[in-house]
Amino acid sequence: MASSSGNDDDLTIPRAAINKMIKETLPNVRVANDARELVVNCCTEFIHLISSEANEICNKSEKKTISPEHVIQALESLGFGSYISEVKEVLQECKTVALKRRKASSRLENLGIPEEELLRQQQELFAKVKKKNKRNLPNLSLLFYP
Amino acid sequence: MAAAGSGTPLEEEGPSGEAAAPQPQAPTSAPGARLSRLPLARVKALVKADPDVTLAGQEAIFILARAAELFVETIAKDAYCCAQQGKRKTLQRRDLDNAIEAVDEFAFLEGTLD
Repeated sequence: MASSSGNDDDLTIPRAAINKMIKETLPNVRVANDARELVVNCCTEFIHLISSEANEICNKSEKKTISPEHVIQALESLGFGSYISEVKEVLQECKTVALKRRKASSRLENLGIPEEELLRQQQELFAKVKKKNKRNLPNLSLLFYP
Repeated sequence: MAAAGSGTPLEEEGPSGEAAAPQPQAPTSAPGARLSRLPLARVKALVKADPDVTLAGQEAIFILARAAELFVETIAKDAYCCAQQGKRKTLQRRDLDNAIEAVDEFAFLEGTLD
């Protein structure tokens, strides 16, 4: 369980997420609680290991932000090269989703109604509502002063 | 249809690929997309807990999360093999210990075996 004291060193991946992954990887297998706990800690250590290596690679590259490429190189240099092809699928998915979003938002912009027209329509609607309210007011006052 | 990358400042990415914007979205809602099983905010917090790390791009966090998933899957399967060799159906901590000792790449974990 993550510490609520704010101490960064107590941060781990939530147990529930690990349990879910274990269950999906080993369905119908019982796993002792202390084994689960160890997996949580190992996962956390793994993240520290890779990010630390990626950070070093990043520093050497004179860039300020750790990029996916740095992570990939870190995986390779630490012996986890077999993860790279699947990890690259995530990158591809990110780019596809980002591209879809850009296309979708530009489609919305191009619906064809310019802003001035939208404003005019809005003013019309407000005017209509005002008129409607004026007609209704006498009825409302009957409610309050029977 | 307007071309993607219409040239407004927010849409440009630097040639080095450093994410100035747009913020890449976590692959979640698209059908068939990989749903990250690890909470990305927590992964990011773990990365930032390293005092040497200044900035990590969002995509880097995504792929690190995916790598961590693969790691958990791998170590769980390895440990299960150990349990099966011991003719047990329940995965015990010692199965993980054995899996860790058996694989060179897992040597970094030997400090966590307490």
